[in-house]
Amino acid sequence: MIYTGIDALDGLLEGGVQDGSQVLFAIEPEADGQHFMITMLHTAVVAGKKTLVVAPFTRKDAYLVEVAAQSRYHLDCYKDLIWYIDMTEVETITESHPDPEGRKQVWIDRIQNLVNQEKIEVIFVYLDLLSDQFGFDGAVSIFQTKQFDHPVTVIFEYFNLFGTEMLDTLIDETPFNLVVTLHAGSGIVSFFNFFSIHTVSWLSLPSRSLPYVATEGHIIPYIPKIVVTGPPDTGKSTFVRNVSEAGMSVDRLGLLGTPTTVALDIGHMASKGFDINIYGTPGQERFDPIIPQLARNAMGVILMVDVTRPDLMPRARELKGIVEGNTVVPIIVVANKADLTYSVTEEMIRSELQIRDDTPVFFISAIERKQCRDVINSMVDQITKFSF
Amino acid sequence: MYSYQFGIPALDEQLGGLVSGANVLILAPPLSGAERIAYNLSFPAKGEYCVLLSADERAAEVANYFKLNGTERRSLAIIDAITKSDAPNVPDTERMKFIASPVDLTGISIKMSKVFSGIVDESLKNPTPGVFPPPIRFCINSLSTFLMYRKLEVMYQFLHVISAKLKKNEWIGFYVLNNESFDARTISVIKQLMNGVVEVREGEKSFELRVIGLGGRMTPWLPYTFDPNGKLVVEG
Repeated sequence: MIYTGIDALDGLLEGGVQDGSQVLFAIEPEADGQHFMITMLHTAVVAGKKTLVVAPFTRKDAYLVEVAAQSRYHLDCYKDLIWYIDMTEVETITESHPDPEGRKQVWIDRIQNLVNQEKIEVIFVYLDLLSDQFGFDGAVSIFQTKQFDHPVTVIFEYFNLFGTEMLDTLIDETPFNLVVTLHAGSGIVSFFNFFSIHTVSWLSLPSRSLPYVATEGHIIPYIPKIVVTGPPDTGKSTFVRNVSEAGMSVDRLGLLGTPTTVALDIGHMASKGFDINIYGTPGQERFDPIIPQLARNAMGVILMVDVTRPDLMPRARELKGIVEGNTVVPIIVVANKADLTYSVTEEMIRSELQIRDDTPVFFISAIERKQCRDVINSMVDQITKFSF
Repeated sequence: MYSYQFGIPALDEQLGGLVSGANVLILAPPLSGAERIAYNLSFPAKGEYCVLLSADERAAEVANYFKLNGTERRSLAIIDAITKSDAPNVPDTERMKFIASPVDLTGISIKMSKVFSGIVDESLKNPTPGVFPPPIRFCINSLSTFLMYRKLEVMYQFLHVISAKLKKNEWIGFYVLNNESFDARTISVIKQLMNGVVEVREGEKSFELRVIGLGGRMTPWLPYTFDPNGKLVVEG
């Protein structure tokens, strides 16, 4: 197993990449995606794996400087573990073998000899120039794992200028065990990046777009918005405060002398390798006009109900409709105050709220921090792994 | 809609400036000073920026040329695809980014994106707000070099992405291409992405240029020279 070095991605892949796999990172224009392969290279050498880097676009020393500048990884510390085929060698091969077929055979022999002799375990290939020379499938075939006398994992990076449809065609012709596509959401400028697990051969995972930030050389996947909603006094603010490392509420004293949210609750936490922002909505009807704004682009919805107040179920169903709008997002129902005496059952909740059979319903007490965090962990799984 | 000027009196008088979103090919024979023409058209006017992708001339030389002609340092950003091959330790700065080689379109795409973001962010923080998005003149010197390293289909697609971005943001682009190094098909494929062409030919006494397209108009052949600082002087 080889770790990608990105906790959230390793989590989704149930540990990492299996030995002997062929992996493709397909980067779309403007997506800041080079850190994915660099992080994986660093993780491999830290784990003591012998690696080969095929980087036809640069010279070795320039590559090492660029990696150190961008990712803070000093690969020159691992010189006994990394072999390079850089621009200098690529130019020599190209000049001495003008015929593409003959040149391709030279490449195959060179890779095969180097990998078998040095017992290289992982190859990292920047595919673009080779793809220009031999076509996409021709370039990938140079690194066919069956030519090696031991299991070798091959990681490719490809700058996909041709869009997702063309990528689908390429992948149909040249199957990979794992394909991760990296995209940029852009308006005037590129304002966020996201990755999708396009294909994975050893798991059944839905294709999801998951945002990430590339900062200080690290990839940090994040879930920008999970919305917590529900009728008044069901414990939304308590929930947001208890899952957060730093939460805050905009509230005022209500008629009962307890605080009631009048704008929103905001919380921030990390779960399963994702940075997560949590937004709590007000529950009172007079705030309904602002709830669609708060819920816009949410990746998940937590609907809170009070198990001691079955009379508030219709209001909960109404709020569910408002936050969902016309979009389909994963929902979790949290039946709060389960530490008190109550009569509401899961069947009643499912029936009153008209939720799907596979929508989780958790009976918790929002004052118990661990129970709240379990709900968020489940929400992350709902967002990343399950169909909804 | 923001209106760009050529900054060359003879051209502005005849054409009245450039429409925003325009992509202009500078199609010129060797030794005609095509890169100087491109730089001159890319000089940022007040409140504008220039982003230059250079595969032919080092960032330091380009910056010096722009400085000699009055461009403020903050108004110019350069993505340099040659210096790093000789000087691998050269560090990126906010306005100067270095790429290992013209082959590395992935790196170019990411660093271009960062440069554009930096300029837009800066314009938002400017205490005296101007046009938004800030007007940017983008220039590639030269497509000829990129086409020596990468396939035409790949470069076409790369330029397609860039030109679409420029159009969307009402920026303008200038692209230098040597018309003697490539066949008619290559030139015609690249032209498909352009709104206009500055054609250059060798005249009797000096090189001459004409502008075609850009609103369906065409200027006559106009002789040109460069002053001691490299400023383009077009007669006519």
